[in-house]
Amino acid sequence: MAFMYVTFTSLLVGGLMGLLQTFVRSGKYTLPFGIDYYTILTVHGVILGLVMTTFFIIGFQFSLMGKTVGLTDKQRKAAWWSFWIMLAGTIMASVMVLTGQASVLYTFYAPLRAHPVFYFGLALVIIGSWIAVFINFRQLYLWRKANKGQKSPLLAYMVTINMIMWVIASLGVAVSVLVLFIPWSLGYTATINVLLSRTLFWYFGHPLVYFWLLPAYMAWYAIIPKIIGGKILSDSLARLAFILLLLFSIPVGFHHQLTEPGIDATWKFIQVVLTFMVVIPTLMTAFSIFATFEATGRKKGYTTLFGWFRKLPWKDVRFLAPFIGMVAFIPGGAGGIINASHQMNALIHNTIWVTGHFHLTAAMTSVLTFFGITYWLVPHLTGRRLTPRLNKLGIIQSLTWTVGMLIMSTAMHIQGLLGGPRRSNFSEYAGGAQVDTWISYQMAQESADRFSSLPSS
Amino acid sequence: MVYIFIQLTFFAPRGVEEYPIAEEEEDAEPTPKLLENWVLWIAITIGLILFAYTIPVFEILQHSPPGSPPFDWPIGK
Repeated sequence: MAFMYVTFTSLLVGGLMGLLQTFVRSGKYTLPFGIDYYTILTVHGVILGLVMTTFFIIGFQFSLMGKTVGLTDKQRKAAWWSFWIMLAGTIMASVMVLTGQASVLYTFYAPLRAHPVFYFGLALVIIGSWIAVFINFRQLYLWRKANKGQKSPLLAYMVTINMIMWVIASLGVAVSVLVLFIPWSLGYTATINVLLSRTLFWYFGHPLVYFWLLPAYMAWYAIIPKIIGGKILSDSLARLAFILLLLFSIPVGFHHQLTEPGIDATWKFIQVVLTFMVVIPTLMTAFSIFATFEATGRKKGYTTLFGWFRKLPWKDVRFLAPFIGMVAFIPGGAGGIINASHQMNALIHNTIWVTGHFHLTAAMTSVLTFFGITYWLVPHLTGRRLTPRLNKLGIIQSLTWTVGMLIMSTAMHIQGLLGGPRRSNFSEYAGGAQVDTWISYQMAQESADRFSSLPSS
Repeated sequence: MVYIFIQLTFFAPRGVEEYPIAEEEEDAEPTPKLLENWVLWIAITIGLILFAYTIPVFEILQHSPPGSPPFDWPIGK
């Protein structure tokens, strides 16, 4: 049964890796040929932030659902529809970005206008993902009907939570694209309500980052224990953490708009409070993971204080890559608390600090975990094996990636504290003295960038 | 990574790679039924969203300044 959709998921992951390559090349080699900086920046953001993650996640979730609650032929057919629609939308949007018709960055803030095809492409990606959502719901529904009174499998439960969050959140961006952006870019409406479009974007934008994170949590809760030879510490704790993440993922978008005029400070404050609720499921997860590590080690008979830690399977890339991701989430999560605090946000808002933050959380925590999954998922689907040689290569890949990202992200954080802006192209800002303090960090990022593009190819 | 991916897809030796799904501890406490009450959790989610967004969005619509025409420069289309 699972073998049947070998093609499906591997195609998704294949697409993902190809796109990754595109980024590496476009980031480094196309720039000299007169292509605009903002085009490249948009490509990087859209391809890695939206396309790679979403395709990987939906493919991975289909495989999880298939393994735990099953996939009928009809559902598989529908899944292909979702894949092709998303792919068509991706191609439409990418072509527009690559031809410089949509250099609006991945947040596509109004009043920057992109070619209408870009917005249509985005709409198709979302519609395609909704098909996937409803297939996943249907899968769980059928399983529950067949297994009345039983609790649903943990991974299926987690996928369902993630998809509920996704469908509620993407309604916001769908409204924004269909009602505000498309008529406006076609010229049917003369003006756009900028604040409303940005509010709708961040209504979606924050749950989007949890949508990247939750699949990593799925792996940490329910897959890593198996890899290290242990058991799930607590099924109820995992489920409760996912519920809390669902509840406090969406009504929090204002913490991205703390400097935005036109939103009452009281409501910003309320949403900041709701944002901080997420600390609870996050710390629950941290506790649960390390408790699993210790419990597993103790069962294997390591009695010393940290013996269980030393004996974790460090040489297994399926464990090592996600583990580095977990560690990166400690500073990543702490940085998030700084970003969401109203006062501290005033210091780092729109600086490259924020970019440093999401490279820790997205590019380290989520993506390294996704790589760790890829190392066993792809050979499982293609009927091959992860050989010791490839395992070793994977370890080298994970470590170089880590070193590169650490240097880059640290430099970004420091430069941001010194006031270095995000998003914008190089500028001397009329020779301001403060600018000179940014340069060395800029160079550190550049070299680190080269360094970490190596392991991705 | 792309190299490893291609290796794993097309060239690695045939075999069966495990799909690692962990099981629960044998003596685990039973999971409360409440956690699977989808209607309840979705209702709370929507309730929280309505609480956090209804009034501010209404204010944004009420007090919004004139909208903006599209900009294609310095960046954009």
